[in-house]
Amino acid sequence: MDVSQYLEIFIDETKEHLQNLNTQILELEQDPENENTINEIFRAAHSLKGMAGTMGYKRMQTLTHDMENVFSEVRSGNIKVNGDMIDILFQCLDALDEYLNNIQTNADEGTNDNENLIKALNDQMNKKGTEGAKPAATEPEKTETAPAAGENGVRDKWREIKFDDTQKNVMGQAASQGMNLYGITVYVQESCLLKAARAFLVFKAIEELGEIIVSNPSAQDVEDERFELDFSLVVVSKESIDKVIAAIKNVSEIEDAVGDVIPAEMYQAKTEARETTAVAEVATKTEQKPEAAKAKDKKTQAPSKPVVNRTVRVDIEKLDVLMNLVSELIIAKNSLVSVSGTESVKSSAFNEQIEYLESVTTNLHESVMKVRMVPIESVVNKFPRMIRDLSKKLDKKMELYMTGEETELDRTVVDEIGDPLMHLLRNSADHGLESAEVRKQRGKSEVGSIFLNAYQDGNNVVIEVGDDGNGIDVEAVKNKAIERGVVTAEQAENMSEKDIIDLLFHAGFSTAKVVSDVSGRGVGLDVVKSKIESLSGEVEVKTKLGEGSTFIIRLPLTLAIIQALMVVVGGEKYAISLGSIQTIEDIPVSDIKHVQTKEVIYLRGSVIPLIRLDQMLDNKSVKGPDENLMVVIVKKGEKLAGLVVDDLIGQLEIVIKSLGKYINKCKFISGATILGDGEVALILDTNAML
Amino acid sequence: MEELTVKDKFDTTQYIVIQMGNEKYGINIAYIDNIVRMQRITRVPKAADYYRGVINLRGEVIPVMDLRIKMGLEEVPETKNTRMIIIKLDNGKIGVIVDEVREVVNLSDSEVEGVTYRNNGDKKATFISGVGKVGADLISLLDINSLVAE
Repeated sequence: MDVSQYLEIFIDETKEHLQNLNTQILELEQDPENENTINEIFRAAHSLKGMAGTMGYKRMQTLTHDMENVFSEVRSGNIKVNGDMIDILFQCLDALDEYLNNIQTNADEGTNDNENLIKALNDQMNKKGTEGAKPAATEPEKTETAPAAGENGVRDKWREIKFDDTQKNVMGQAASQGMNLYGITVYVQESCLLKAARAFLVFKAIEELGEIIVSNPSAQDVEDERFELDFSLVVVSKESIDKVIAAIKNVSEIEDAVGDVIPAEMYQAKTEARETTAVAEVATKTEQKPEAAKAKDKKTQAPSKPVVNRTVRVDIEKLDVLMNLVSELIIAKNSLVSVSGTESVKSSAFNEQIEYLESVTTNLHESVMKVRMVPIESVVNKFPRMIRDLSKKLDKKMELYMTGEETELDRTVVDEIGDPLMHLLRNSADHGLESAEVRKQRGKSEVGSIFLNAYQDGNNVVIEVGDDGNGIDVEAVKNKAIERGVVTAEQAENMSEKDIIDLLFHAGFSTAKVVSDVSGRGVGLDVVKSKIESLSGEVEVKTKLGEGSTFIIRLPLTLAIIQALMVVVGGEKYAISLGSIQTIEDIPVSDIKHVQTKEVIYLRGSVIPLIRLDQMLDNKSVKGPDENLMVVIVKKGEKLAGLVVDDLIGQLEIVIKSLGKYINKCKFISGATILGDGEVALILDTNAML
Repeated sequence: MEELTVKDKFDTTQYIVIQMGNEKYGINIAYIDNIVRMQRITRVPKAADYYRGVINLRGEVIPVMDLRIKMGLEEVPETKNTRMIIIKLDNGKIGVIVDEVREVVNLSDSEVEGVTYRNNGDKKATFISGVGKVGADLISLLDINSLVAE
């Protein structure tokens, strides 16, 4: 069967499963008894195995099969989760990642057999302690089969099956619907050669009379002939037990079948309604059929969330084309609006239609923008694992706290923001957090905290990355800068604390005494800054020595089309993004006060500095010196400023066009736009002015 | 076995000849996207003095340079012959304002002489990559890349 056409789907879905496994195993580390997590992991491993098998990747299949086995044991309570197992599991995930990367580049999984991992997994399985005696015959190296207490004596192996909550639930439901629940153990003749075939016939026979809910070993293992001479089932049927047993015995080479009604205690221990896990079971079944996914539908399910996501994968180039077309539509709409304003076609019907057109295009634009918006979760969800690895590597205890993972950013931005964030986190872990002893001395908890908060602020998304560690030692930075000749000693004296901290963003700068492969080479922060600036964002640092540092990254939400206020300064038109504007005020000249030679106004309890745009833009205001000032109050985070303009034109939806690299030397101009009459207006970047 | 030598016809480059004052300059036609009449220019604050601003060319925002200022010539008022030549480079388009556009000429390699001006403070010297002879005229060929560079 030619599976190459499914390669893309396989890669995408495998990536998701691996990511899911990462998250789940981390959770498992914190909460080793959580049944939900264990089930999720088991299901994910099972799906991975199925997909790998279908695509013909034998090594992946083997590794995931062994992982699945370990988890099967954990699920039935035979072995407990411990730190070693978690480490091995993570290593397995890394190995699977490697396979996947090989597949992506060469369409082949590579030659790494990962024998050591497989051996480690098997060792874990052999650690089955004396907790609970199970007859599960999945491995040839099987050990104990403690005798069970049943009426038929040892033969009633079905009595030892431990059911998980889903299974108990299903059994409870069946029982309440008046169906019979039978536990049956089937024995195959010793001389039988094709045990799997016989088992299959048994399954078929039973399915004509009822349904098999539980199989021990699992149905897959029975299919693969991973059982000795017997397997046990739980059957739901309306027929009598004798009929079922007779049907089983009818299959050739079946030596015996023993069974009885399942006593209620076996499935009534926990009666927590878990409908969501039942839905998840359905999801698992559909996941086992990747070939059928012609429509490329995918179900993402986490047992704690009751909502099922239905998604469609779309090529990002198609989205870009769509965005461009919407931009052009908006420009055309603007031209139409301005023409309608000038021409004498002032009929109300025409204006009504124009307004309707305007609202429709605005909605269209918003919808297309939303399509391109992706929650940063997809980028940050690999960070907890990274912090855990760093914690072990650097031998410092640390915890990562994240909020706002659902905050959305444009897809292109999300792709680019991952690396800078990762670097800042590594910095915090490596340089920021002190060693355990120092922390104890300072009265801080032994476990360092690193946090990542994301939230929307006006027209921007703000991502804060910080720690409660040492903070930035401004003196050390200053001295290092002088030492490296980045600044002279006199220059350093005159620099404010902020300026000195900004030095950190210079290429080649690092105060680390030891270069590790985590950080310290001085390559990181300048790359972070330039990457963020290339996304039209900015980064700043807040730090307190001994208490910690926070890096604040600000990124624009929308990249191409914004709502703007058009203003006139010195006869020239400029656009100011509406998201930054707080209020517009009419200020008499007498209200202007001076603080340290800077002009300010006192407005509703706050002192707001004035910025005269005509001066900033090398122009001259046309207003007289005594006329009232038209002031646009803009904000950036907590800071406010008042921009003095000559006049206001009105609100306009504009398409941002880049000025290109040749002419844009002005920090305050972020781009240009084409107005309805064809004129070009420049767009002011208020963030750069504050 | 005769050798067909049609080299002369095919080794020529075409140049657009422009007039600035009483000197003629040539621009390699391969770089030229468009030639348009003067239109409204929007000033861009804090740009270099030889950049007059930006224009809207059928939906594109293109920066525009005044060649006279860049070459250190005195400014003259606009005439009906003044044109903007839109140059296309790897990383974008640039418009160049010239007094007049004259004609297209073909120059072969043999008709072009390279020049090495001593650096005598003559601004325009740095942008000339050679001099071509057409009839009785000398045409200074502009090096677009150095014209546009910082």
